[in-house]
Parts: sequence; C-alpha cells; structure tokens
Amino acid sequence: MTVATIDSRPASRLQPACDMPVGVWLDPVEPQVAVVESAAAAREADLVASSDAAIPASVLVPRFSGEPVRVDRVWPPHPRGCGERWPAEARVNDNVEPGRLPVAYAWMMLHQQQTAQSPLWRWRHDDGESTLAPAEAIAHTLADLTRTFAPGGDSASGVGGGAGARSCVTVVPDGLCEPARHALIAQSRQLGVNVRLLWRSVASTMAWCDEWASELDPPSNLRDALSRTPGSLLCLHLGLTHWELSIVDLVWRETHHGLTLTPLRRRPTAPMLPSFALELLHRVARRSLEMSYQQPTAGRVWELMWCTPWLNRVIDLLADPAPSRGGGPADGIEPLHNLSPHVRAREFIRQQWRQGMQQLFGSTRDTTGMVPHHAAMTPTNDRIRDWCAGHRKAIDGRTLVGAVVTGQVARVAVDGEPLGLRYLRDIWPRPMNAMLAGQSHTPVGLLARCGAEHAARLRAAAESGEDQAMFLDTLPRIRVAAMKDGRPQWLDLVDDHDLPVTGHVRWHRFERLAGLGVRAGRPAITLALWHDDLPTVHTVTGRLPQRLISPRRFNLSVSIDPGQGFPRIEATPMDDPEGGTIAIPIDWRTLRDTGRTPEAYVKA
Amino acid sequence: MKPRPSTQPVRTSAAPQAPAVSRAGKGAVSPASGARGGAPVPRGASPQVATASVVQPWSTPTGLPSESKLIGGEGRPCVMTPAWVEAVAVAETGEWLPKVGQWTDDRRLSWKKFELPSTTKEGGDAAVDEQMLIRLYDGKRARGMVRVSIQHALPRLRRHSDAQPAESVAQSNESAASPGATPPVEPTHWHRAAEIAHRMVDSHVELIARLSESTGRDEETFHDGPGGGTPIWPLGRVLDMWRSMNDHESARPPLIVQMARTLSQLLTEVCTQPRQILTRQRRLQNAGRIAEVDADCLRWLARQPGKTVAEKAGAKQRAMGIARVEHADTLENRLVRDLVRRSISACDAYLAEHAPVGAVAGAADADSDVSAVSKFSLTLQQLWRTSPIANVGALAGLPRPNHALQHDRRYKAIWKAYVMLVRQQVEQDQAWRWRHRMWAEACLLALLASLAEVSPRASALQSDVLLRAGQLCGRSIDERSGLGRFDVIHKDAGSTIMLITGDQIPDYRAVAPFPEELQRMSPDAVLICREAQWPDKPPRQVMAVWTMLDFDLNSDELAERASRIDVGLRLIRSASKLSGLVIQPAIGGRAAATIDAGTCRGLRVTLPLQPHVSQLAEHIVKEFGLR
Repeated sequence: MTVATIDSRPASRLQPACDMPVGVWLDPVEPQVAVVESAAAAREADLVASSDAAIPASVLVPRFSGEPVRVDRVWPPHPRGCGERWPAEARVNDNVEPGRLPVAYAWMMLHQQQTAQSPLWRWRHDDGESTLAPAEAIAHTLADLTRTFAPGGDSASGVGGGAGARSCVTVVPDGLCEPARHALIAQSRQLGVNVRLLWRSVASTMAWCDEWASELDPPSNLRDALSRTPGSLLCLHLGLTHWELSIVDLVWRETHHGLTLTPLRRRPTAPMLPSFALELLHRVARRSLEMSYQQPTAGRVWELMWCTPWLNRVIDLLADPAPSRGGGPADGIEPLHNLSPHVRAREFIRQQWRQGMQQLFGSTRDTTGMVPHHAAMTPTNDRIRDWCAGHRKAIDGRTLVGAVVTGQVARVAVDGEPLGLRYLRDIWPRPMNAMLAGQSHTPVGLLARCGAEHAARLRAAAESGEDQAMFLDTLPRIRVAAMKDGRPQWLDLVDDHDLPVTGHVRWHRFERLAGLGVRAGRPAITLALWHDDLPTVHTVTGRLPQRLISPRRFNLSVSIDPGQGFPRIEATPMDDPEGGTIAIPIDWRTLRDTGRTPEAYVKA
Repeated sequence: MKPRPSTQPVRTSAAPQAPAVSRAGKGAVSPASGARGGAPVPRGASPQVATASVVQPWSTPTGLPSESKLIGGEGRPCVMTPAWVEAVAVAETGEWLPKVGQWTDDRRLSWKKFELPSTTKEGGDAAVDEQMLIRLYDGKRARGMVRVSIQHALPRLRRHSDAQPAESVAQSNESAASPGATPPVEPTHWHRAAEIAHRMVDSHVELIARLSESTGRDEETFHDGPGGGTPIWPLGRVLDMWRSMNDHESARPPLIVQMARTLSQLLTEVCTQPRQILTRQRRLQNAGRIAEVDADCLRWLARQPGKTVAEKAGAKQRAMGIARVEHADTLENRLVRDLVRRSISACDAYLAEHAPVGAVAGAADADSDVSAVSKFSLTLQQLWRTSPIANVGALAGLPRPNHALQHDRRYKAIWKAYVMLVRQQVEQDQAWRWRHRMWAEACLLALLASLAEVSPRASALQSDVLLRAGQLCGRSIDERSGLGRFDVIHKDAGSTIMLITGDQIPDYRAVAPFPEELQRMSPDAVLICREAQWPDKPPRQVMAVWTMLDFDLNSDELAERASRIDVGLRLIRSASKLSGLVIQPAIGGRAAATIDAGTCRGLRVTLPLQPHVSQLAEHIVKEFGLR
C-alpha cells in the first residue's frame, strides 16, 4: 500500500503498483497521486512527504517535428520557457505565450472552454509556431504521473486504450464542460491511460462521509431511509486558478453492507469564479524581486513562479502557522541558491498577500509575468462578495449537514484564520461539521486518496459484477433539433436528465428516438445539438456507408457513462428494405460550433 | 598596441602567383589562373584593394591587407573578404564555407571571415601541401575565384599501407612533449600526429553515429522526426555517451568488426545464390522451338530473304524469337557487389591499423576482433573472385532502395549495413577535411563535461542537443541547440555559467550585452559567468575559447598565439573581465601543458579528451574564482 504525493524520487523506490488502483488530483501547484491496495486501505495510508525539488508541473510545447510532449516537474527545470534570456527558447516576454505551459494555465484554459473548439496555447519561436491544447497538456501530465508512480502497463499496446493501458481515476472540477472532459479522456486514452473522471464535489463528499457519517443518525430501515434524507453537503473549492461551490445531496442507499450514505451530485447551477490567487502570487513574486534589487521582468517573475519551488514554499509559508520544514523560510533549499533571497521572511510574504487582498486589482494594473488574457480574469472584491452572496441565497432553506473546503487558497491563513473558513462563513454563516483540506487533522492528499478509493471500488464492482451505487449523478440535458408537427423543435435526447442515475453505470435511453429524417443525396447524418454545458448550438455528424439515394428515417439510441464525456449516439435505419440493422455511430470529433443560440438556430 | 595583422593579401589587379610561403603551415591566396582579376565592388562597400586574405580566426586586421608575413603554424586558416562577398564556396566540391565572423573596422569598412577546410591529401611521414579554388559570391553570382594554398598540413594516413607501430612512435615522442617551449620534432612525428588526429576524428564520428542511431531509443528523451529527421538528446545523456567513448570495456566495436561478426554468413549466402530475375530477350533461336514472338521479331523475319518461314530461317533454321533469360544483374546485387568491394577496403584499413598490435598482444585469442576481420576479409576476397556477384555491373551512386532491399529478408540486412558503411566512410572523409571544426566540437563537449563536473545538477544538462543527419562542415551539433545555465555555489554565493558557441554569438548579442570586439575574434565558444544574485548586471567574467588542431610540429606556436589573443583581449573595453583559452592537442603521452600569457592561457592536451575533464574543470573554477 502506498500513497504518494509528487516528489522527485525515482519510481523504483515506490512499490510496484502496475495493477493497483490509482487516484490523481492534478493540483496546479502540487499534484497528488494515490496508489492503494483496496478502498478500505485508502483511509489509513501513510503519505510520503513532498520533495523540496518539486516545481509546479509544466508541459514543454514541442518545437521540432516529431518531438514528444514532455512534462517538467522537478528542479532544475528544462531551459525551455524558463524565463532566462538565453537560449532563445527560454525567453518569456510580455504578451507572448512561452514554450512552457504550466498545468495551472492549462486548467484555466480548460475552464474557459465554452465551445467544441479548444483554446490553444501558442508559442512563437524561431522555427515558426507551435500549439498545444490544454487537454493534451493535462493528459500528458496525467500519463507522466501515472507512469512514474504506478509503473507497469505496456506503452505500445496501451495506446488508444488497448490491453496494456494503465487505469486511473482523476478528480476534475464539477464545472468542467463536457467537450473539455471528452477531450481529456480521449487524449489520455491516446497516451495509454484509461482515465475515469470523478467529480471533485463527489470526492470531497466521500472524504467528508468517511469522517462525519457516524455523526448522522442512520435510519432504522429502508422505508425510513427513503422518506428521510440526511441533508446536503456544501463543497467549496478555493483553488489557485478557480473557485467553485457545489451542493451535494446525501441519500441513504441499501448495499450489502447495509444502509450507506451516498452522495448525489446535482448539475452545477452557478459558474466557477476565477481565483485572485494567481495574480496575487505574481505580484508577490514581483515585489520579492524588487526587494532583492532585481529587475522584475516578465521572464524573472515567470521563472520564480513556474521554474522553481518558490510557489510551493510560499504557499506553505502562507498556510502553516508554524514552519513545517525547518526554522527559516529558505531552509531545505540550499541548492537553489538564487532562490533563497526570494523566499523572504514569512511576515513579508503574508504582508504582501494581505495588502494584495485588500486592493484586489483592476485588470489594468501591471501583471508582469502573467499570460495576458488570463490576467484580466482576476475578480474584484465586489465580484467575490456578489459570488458569495449569490451562493448564500442559493443554499437558503436547504438542510446543510456539513462542508468540505479544498484548494490551496483555503489553506492560506490571514489574521490567524484560514481563508477557507472565512469564505465559508461568508456563504454559510454558521457552518458546522466543516472539514478543511490541508489542516493537520484531515488526511493529506484528500482528493487523490478519494480518487484511488473510487478506483478500488470500481475494480471490486467489476470483479464481483455488483451494481451498487458509489454515488449518484445527474445527467446533462441534451436536445436535438428536429421537425415535429411541421415545425422545428428541440427534442430531449436524455429523457432522464433531471433524475439521479448510478454514477459508474452506463445509462441507456429507454426508448429510441424514432423517425429522424435524412434527405436523399446526403453522405452523412448531421444532428444539431443543444447541450446545456454549451451556450450555442453545435452540429455533429455520423458518416453513412454511402450517399442516400432516397430519403430515409432513422432511430437514435443514446447511452451515457455519467460524467465521462459525450453520450454514445447511434442511428439505425428504420424500415430498411434490405433488412439491414447497421448502427451508424455519431462521431464526436466532428463537433462544430454553429455560433447560434438555440432560439436563433430554430428560427433559422 | 594593436595586434599585428596576420594577412596574406591578394591584389585585385592581375598578379602572378601568390608569394611563396616559407614558414610551416601557412595559408596563402592568389587569384586563380583564368579567373577575373578581381571582382567589381559595389559602391559604398569595402575597399577594392584585396579580394581575400588568409587570416587566423582571432585576427581582425584593422588596416588594408599588406604583404606582411603570416603568423602561426599550420593554424586554422580562415579567409577574410570584404563584406560584399555574400558567400564563399569551394570550386571543386561546391560546398559553402561557414561564416565565422563579420565586423566593421575603425575605418567603417566591413569584413567577413569564412573558415577554410583543411587538406585531404594522403601522405606518409611528411606534411602535405594542397591548393584549392574558392569562388566568391555576391548574392547569386560568382564574382571572383581565388586559389588558396595550404601548406605543411597534417597528412591523411594511407590506411592501406603498412602503418608504423604506435608503440615505437610513442617512445620516440616521450622526450619531445615537454611543457612550454617544445624543440622542433622529427618529421616522423607527422605520421604520429596524423594518427592521433585520425583517432580523434573517428571517435567523434562514432559518437555522433551512436547518438543518431535510434535503436533502443527512449521516447522521453530521444526522438526523430519523420523521415529520420532530427535526433534530439538531453545534454546529460550526450555527455554520458561522450564519457563512455573512452571506456574500452563498454565501447562498441567498430562497424567493420560488427559486420565481420554478423554479416559473413549472410554475404556468402547472397553472393553464391543471388536473387535472380527473368528477363525477356530477343535471340536467334532454333525456328522450331520459338514459343513467343513480338513485332520486332516479325519485322526481323520479314526482312529476311525467302518466301516461307523455313526459307527465311536459312540453312541453320534459326529465327528471332523471345527467350526468357535468368540473370543476377539487378540493383540489389550491384549493391551487394559494392558492399563487398567497400568491405574489403574497410577490412584492409582495419587490419593495417590493428593487425600488428593484435599479432603481439592477442595472437592466442582466436575470437579477437582482428581474427574475425581477417577471416571476413578472406571470405570477401574469395567471393569477389568466384561468386556470380563479381559479374554484375557496378553501382553508380547511392541508390534508392527497391522492394527487395527494403523487404527481402536477406537484402534488408545488407542494405542496412551498406548504408551504415557508406555513411561512415563519407563521414570520415568529410570529417578529416573539416578536422579543425570537429576538434572544436570535441573540445566543446569536453568543456560541457567540465562544467557538468563543476555543477552536477544544472539546468543545462536537461537542454536539448539537436544532431544533424549528416555533419555540416565538421559540425554535427545543430546551432539551434540552446544550452541552459550551469549553477555553481561557492562561499554562500552563487554563480551561473552559460556556454555560447561561436555561431550563436550574434543571436546572443541580440538579447544580452556582449563585446562586439570579442565577436570579431571568432571564438569557438564563450563561457559567461554571472553572479546568481544579480542576473541583470553585466557578467562578472567572460572566457573566450579557441581551439586548434595543430600539433606545432615545426615550432611551438601556442605561446605566440596566446600572446596575440592576449593583446587582442586587452584592447576590448568591457564591464566584464575578459580572458581567453586556446586548446591544442599534444603529441605523446605526457600530461597536459599550460602556457600563461596574461589574460589568455594556452592549454595543450593529450588525446583522448575524456581524462582531461577534471583539469578543464579545475581551470574553469580557478579562472572564474569559484573556489
């Protein structure tokens, strides 16, 4: 049994864990990997301390033809995009995206994705321009971590999710849109990792239940359990890149262990809030350089943030009331001689943070070292207040039984109190049974640990063939444009979209959607879809074996793995004169944005 | 005091042959016979006095070229031209000379410096002279042609001839390799020096070949683009491989030994039973047995006298018909023939170099490399004389592989071996021609290994080193290989050292301050040392490195070179402390010798370079005050 956070040790020093359940939480600063033997063992696992040499994980954008995508997460860093003036590939300038994509930025870009087309990280260099999609960057980091901490599998046969693929459960934000999730799964599969996504709110709830379930009165029988729900849990994530609040209902479900408290995740109703922490830390880095009489150029700030362990150390300093790694701020980083002046006294860092929080910036202010279109996302104090107030209204009248607060910002202590608890009180004035990740009494690597636990349960369920719910999920609402009664309408593809479904079991539409007409001469079936994760209508096609010589009608069958990307849609011809029943799968790689809202599309 | 210009000018007016050069190893240029007497110079460009002059890399003459004597031994000849010359090419081979410098002198006249290749002539125990024609191009057009004479250069070894035992040469050399001023050595040492240079070149070619091979590649650290594009290795791995080149136990056997061990049986099989094809040929045949005719056969028949076929067939009753003939004269068999020919030559070269040593030291070892190559050579010679392969046609150039070469089980292996052998031979020819630049690259790796010893956990060791598919003018490492920094801790403070190669200096100057005068001196590499605490301040020290594959067999020029560079460095105004280092090879088994000439130090090192890494590291530490 091994649970590990990321460090620089070679994988051979960890126990071989080629077929053990793996859980990953790709934190922007300190990713966590948990490898466990069984679900029960996950709670008691020991943790390996993180290394001082770990830097925030970044992905090196390939420059040359055929160059692989590489992950850089240990000091000293690869020269590419490290902020030095030389070599040319190391340079970082204002208003330019360099050759290094930090995972934090990749998450931000993924959160921003609103359409089928992913935003791209563009690096202009002497040989031209290289681009990298954020999902690809995150998938590569995931594959790299899995390879390092859970060695085994066969890279060659595992590509495309083949027999040699490794498996892992990755915790993802609830607000991640479906195209982003789909891209993440597809990219990981190409890299030989069969990844299964677990909602962050569900993982948090599982951790909370481990700790607090005994506090709730269990019902005496199933009828009682069905009539009485214990309440809801507030899951607040205050991350370095985004903040998110989710409400997870708790329900009693009967399993072979008896009645078990099970999370029921609802679809998120409010968008995520960009975090101010990234910009604030850039400012602290800049100020720290100024205090050392160095020019706070974009390259220097970038280097300090993403190519040294500075960020990890500063967050530790901000979080820990007492130093956990020696007495002084620069202890343990002797090899990083040029870093030590910038890890200044705890009070300096805290003062800068406090001042920054009081100002909470307009986007016009200087944000040296930040990639420009991300810098403008930082919310003002008013916006944060509104966000908290909005959520306060949303939970009004609900029975909350507890709260889980996760994220790097939640750990930061200001005036002796962690920010996580302060913002929790802004939303829920009288919190109870609150669990703050990163506190001494909560397990370290909480999200990764829950991911591994979920992976272990999935494996056990697959081996035993049981179909017990580990959590309940709510499906997205997806509608297809069709002519009905002579006028265009939106028909639900997922007719159970408001009902809870079992989280890890594939859902099938009970009745096929019948009678979808396709005109003669068409080489493919094209569907216009309205997905509630996407603001505009998208089209998707399934190629027919040959052009239709006469108009035909098709049935649509739909199935979904909850939370695991797009549904599987197959079109089957109705009344085939030749009696054929070839199902034509809809290819999600053909997803295109029409740029029209559902109302405008139907009118057109 | 300004440095004495070391130029040998060529007047643009019609001039007789260049003045004879009396001292050893001098380069001279003169207008080629039949060439135009000097090219018209565009308005506003450099003076019309000289077309080209031979200079040493660090020379930056400030005045008009004069008839002054050339300084230096064989040295490392470069050709200096006015700035209107866009490019310079060797007339015989058409290869472009690498530009190593461009500058404007005190009179605002612009100049360029191109490095010349060295000699290729074979020789025995004496130096060789060689002349080459070079063309000067102004844009797309050749605007002049000059003849360059390189004299007293290292001879290329006749590897087929009887080589002198290395032991005796080493013994006779003991007394000559004393540090400091070296007395003139005997002419027999030309052979010894050539042998050392050959070994260096072969070792470097082998290193690049090993790095370029994709067998056992690690996807994380190595990749090649489509069509065998650019292999890329992290610097740390390149240096590991470089260090292992001196490790005889882990050293890979030479290609010909590998071929002797793996290809002997296959070649015998292919040569005795080559792949044959059926072809249709028109032949006079017995009229009764003709099975197939075509239009040409019918036309032939129509032209014959007689009315009936029997009459037309004549007394012998023979007529033109199509016959199916089986023969082995195919592309793949021609390639096999060429491989046999080249392999015999390679075996001879190997045996000439190793057989005497093997005969003494490893005579009892029947499985030795020498024994294997010897047997392989005999087999090949027998096949050359007796097998059907001897009768097939000769191969012209390197062919594109046909289906048989790519997919036939037997020929596929032969094609692979053939490509490797041809590539190795071409590489070695080219490498010998550009041995100065190859030596510079070898010294560069030695410097990097020294820096890695000073700073074993450096960011630079993760840098990508790009390798060219084939060497370009002696350089196999692509100049796009950007190396990171080396961090060094000393006395509670930190320093960073960066290594910039000579061809990267213009790019480096675009982003960071760098003395222009130092760029004019065309160093092979520059080590830039900064205070880690003050990365934005000018570097604390800059050390420029020149390399020269010159054994100074006639007279020791190292001290003079170092002093000339010292003078040049002292004239440069810079916020950083400047110093120089000249690295030359030594002959004999003695330890390295050092010559101190003010700011510049001359270092003469024995080959191979790997054991001298610690000494170089020591020098760097001392020079940069990192103790």
